[in-house]
Amino acid sequence: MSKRFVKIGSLILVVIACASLLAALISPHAIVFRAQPFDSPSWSHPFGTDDVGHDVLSNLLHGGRTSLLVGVIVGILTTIFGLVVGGLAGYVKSLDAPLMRAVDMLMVIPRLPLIIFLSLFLKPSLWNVILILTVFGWPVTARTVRPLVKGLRNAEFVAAARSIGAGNWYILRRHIFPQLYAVFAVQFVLEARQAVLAEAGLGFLGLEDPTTKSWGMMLSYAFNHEATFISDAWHWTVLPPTIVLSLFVLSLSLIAVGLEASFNPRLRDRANTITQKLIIIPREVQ
Amino acid sequence: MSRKIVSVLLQYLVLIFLLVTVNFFIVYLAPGNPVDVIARGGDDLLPKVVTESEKQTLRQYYGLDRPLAEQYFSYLSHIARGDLGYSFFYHRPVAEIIFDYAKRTVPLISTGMALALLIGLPLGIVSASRRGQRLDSILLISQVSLHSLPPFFIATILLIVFAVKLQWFPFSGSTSISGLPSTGMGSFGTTLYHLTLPVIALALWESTTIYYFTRNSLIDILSEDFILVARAKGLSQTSVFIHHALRAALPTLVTRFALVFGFMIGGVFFVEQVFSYPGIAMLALSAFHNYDYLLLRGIFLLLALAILIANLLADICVHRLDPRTRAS
Repeated sequence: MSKRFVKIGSLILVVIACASLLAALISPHAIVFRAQPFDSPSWSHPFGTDDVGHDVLSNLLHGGRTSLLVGVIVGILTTIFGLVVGGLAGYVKSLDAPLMRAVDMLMVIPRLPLIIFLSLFLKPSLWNVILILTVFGWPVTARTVRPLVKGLRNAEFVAAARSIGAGNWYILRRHIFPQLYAVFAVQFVLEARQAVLAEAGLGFLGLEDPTTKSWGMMLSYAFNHEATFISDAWHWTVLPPTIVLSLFVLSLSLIAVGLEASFNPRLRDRANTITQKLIIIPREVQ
Repeated sequence: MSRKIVSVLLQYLVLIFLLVTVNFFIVYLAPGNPVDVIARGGDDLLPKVVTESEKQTLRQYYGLDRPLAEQYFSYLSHIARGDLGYSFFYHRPVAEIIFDYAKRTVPLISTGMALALLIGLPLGIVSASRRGQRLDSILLISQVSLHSLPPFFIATILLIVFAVKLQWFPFSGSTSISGLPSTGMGSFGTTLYHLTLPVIALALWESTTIYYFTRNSLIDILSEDFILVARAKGLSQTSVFIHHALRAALPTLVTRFALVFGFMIGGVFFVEQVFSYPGIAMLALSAFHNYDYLLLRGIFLLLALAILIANLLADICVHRLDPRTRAS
């Protein structure tokens, strides 16, 4: 079951990733090519054209690059920050309370409205979007990593290693890091997924740089145009970006669920642990 | 008023003060400077040529040349009097504009929250009482899948199915185009007619979080010893559930529902954008496009205050609901 999840998810992901990475080669029209606005699908424009006469398929392919870029960069950065903070809190006793207090404070702030508001005040640019998503993304990973590191640190085999004179660095490298690879993989996918969703959301609200090609921005232009829903234009301006984005996010969710289950076959309540992370939920602040 | 409540109130006062301070400085993040925005004179599309000396006069007139500390204290005294500043785009006081738009967002959020509770709470209870069974798995997987879609997905689907295809509801706005009640409906009917789809979209989206919170809090509590005792006493399943489990879960649930209210403020942005519903979120987005930072700042303050107050109310409710906090 879990293997099938990873397989299906990876298949969708690979198709979308390859199509976007090869956008410059395989898209039927250059990104600045202008045709009749709101042209319905035809041989030269398989998905029709948008409100300014850009080919929807070409936009879709180029837009995927933005999602991939944001997903990969924010995914890596937040996972690393989360691992460092969570690791420090779990390993160094004196840092545990202050760090976790900071994490809890960040987590009770509703993330989505905060991200929207920061984007409203900052200059719209893709790098600002990446910055905001990174700054507010890592607490979830820190929260996941801390108990793991704490458990390992207090484990008997670590105490044994310490008693024969192993130093902190040796213990970290030999006993703690290798156990975190699985968490790193799962968290990376989850953080990337969260970042893709947030980036698309910001684009949807029109808060990205207007020159950025992204699925969210495509939808933003479609929704802000009067003709979209009184004609049939929504068939090709609204549905394709929505469907591709949903498939992309779904593939990441499937991979995360599958990976978690395969790394951790004896999960007591399998559905429960993973769903907790899918619906990024702040823990109770005590 | 016990000590505990006083200390909670003090904490919130500190938070509100911090919020107001952040709100003062947040404008400095924004690109451009206020003089240019003022000089542009709002909705005028023609660029105006403003000389350096005129800019200097403007700066003096609006007190922008004074020290930051002085500007900050003047800002504090204005906020204390409920004066949020003046919008150079609408040529009206910010507080007035916000009030006009909030009138349409308040019913959206309040009915949305009520409906989300009506959907999420029973589903969560059913799921928890059938834990590990088929119904629980189906509910859990469907709710989580629903939540892991893009935040505007449900709203878009509702719009396409019920407004565009079936044409049961309007696909944009909050009133009919003429501003008069639609035929056969009073003004209340018209409002309701325009509010239906946005409310359902918001409620379906947030009910997933409420479902999840309810299910998990109940499952935690059902594994406690006092539930075992209640069962051993021979109480019926329903009685154990309602009088023991739900009652014990109530304080936790109330705290979490306050969080859901915070999430909902984010959801409102997407719902209003999808349905072109002229509420506070749409006002924020248009203020962003018009570089109307004083208005944006007012909206930020108001929404953040709303979230803080929801949490404060939840804290007070928990205090009343949880007998342990009263005893100490």
